[in-house]
Amino acid sequence: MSEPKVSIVMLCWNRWEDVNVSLTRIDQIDYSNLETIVVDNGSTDGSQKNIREQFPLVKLIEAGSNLGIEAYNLGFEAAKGEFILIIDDDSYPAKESIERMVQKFSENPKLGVCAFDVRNADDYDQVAKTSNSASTTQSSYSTGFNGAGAGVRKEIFKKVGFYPGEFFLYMNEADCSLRIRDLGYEIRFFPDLIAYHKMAAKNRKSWRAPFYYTRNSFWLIWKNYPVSTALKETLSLSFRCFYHSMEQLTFIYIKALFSAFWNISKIAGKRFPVKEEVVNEMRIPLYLCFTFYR
Amino acid sequence: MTNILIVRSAPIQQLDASLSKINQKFDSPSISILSHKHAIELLNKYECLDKCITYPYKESFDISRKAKFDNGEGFDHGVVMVGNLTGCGFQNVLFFALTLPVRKIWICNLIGEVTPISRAGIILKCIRNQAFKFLALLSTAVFSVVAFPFLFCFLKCKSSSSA
Repeated sequence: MSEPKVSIVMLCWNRWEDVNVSLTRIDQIDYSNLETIVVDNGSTDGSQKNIREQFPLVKLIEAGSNLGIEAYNLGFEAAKGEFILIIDDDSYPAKESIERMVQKFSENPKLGVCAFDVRNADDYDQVAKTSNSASTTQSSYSTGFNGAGAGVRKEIFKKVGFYPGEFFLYMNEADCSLRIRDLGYEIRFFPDLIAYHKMAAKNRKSWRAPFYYTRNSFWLIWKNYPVSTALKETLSLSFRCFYHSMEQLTFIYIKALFSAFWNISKIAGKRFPVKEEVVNEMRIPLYLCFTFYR
Repeated sequence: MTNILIVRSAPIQQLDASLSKINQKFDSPSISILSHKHAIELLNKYECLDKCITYPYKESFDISRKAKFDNGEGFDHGVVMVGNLTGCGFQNVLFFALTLPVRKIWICNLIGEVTPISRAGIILKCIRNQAFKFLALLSTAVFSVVAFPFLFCFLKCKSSSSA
């Protein structure tokens, strides 16, 4: 019997050097039934031409302009695989991880997402033991997954509507995680599934991460949380927006707070509250946004 | 041998890059790490970590949620990992670090710089932040009066239409 098809889906936006490294590594994977899809978000650095010339087997989808994470959905739709491996343009899976991931999905039909151990590409092999061990202990809560390395069942992923395009950047994995858990599927970390990710060598002081992360935290709550929990968390998050703006001498969090309310129509029709126990069981890092700015 | 306790309050991926710098700074110490349960299994793979201690809560590190250590267990240095350059936004972890059985507290930032921070400095920052908290509370109250009725309608309306 042939191996189940796996589709690797990657997003690309003006980072040809990183994409080149990732696709080269993916080329070295010997899983037989594998397709690689790159969705280009309107790169202007020649990425499209380079991918076509140097990786002719890669399926390239051109979004035309920068759609943010919504562009991933073009790749997910086009994926022919029963399982999708989501990676960043600067991440790639360890050689043996695809086969292991398929095995885990085959063994457990309730497994919706295999969260990879996403590690620093430059340092990881120097500090960690190589591991073939499967997961043995699980915490009593779920942490979602990291979009730089996660395997998903396409069928389940499609049911939850793939990534929330309106988010543009950040918190998209948490949004999907809540919905996948609400459907009753498991999201599990597997330490023997490894993805390597390039880590920024220095702090990128930018408004993008704190702004989108904060705004999307509100939207995540409003889309997915039951009413009383949503109000409570909104209150807490609003307080933190004011507090951290003063602490860090920035208006970025207040701007994100107002933007969340002002643009609330973008999530109209997308509110499907999950069960209260799903919210309680998940560990969603809603306040992480306040650590990005300085 | 110097023994240190790392508080893993930043992504594991950052730990990969910081460990060599911590090792250099403290001259190959014995390293224990305090982390939430979901990361313990991943941390067990590190050869250079002598002990992984589980933080027994789902929530963030907080002074009201103390970690549990073996009787008499103590460390020369406590290293708080922060996911940025300055440690802004990690006040809860630094405040929590005051409860740890460590003689000296350090911050290890995103680029692996390890710098000391005094207990008095942490407490002074906390006192300053109390003033910010009071102002934030007032701002939230004013904002809520205006925004929450609207939000309540949005949530209620969308809940009933999706039910």
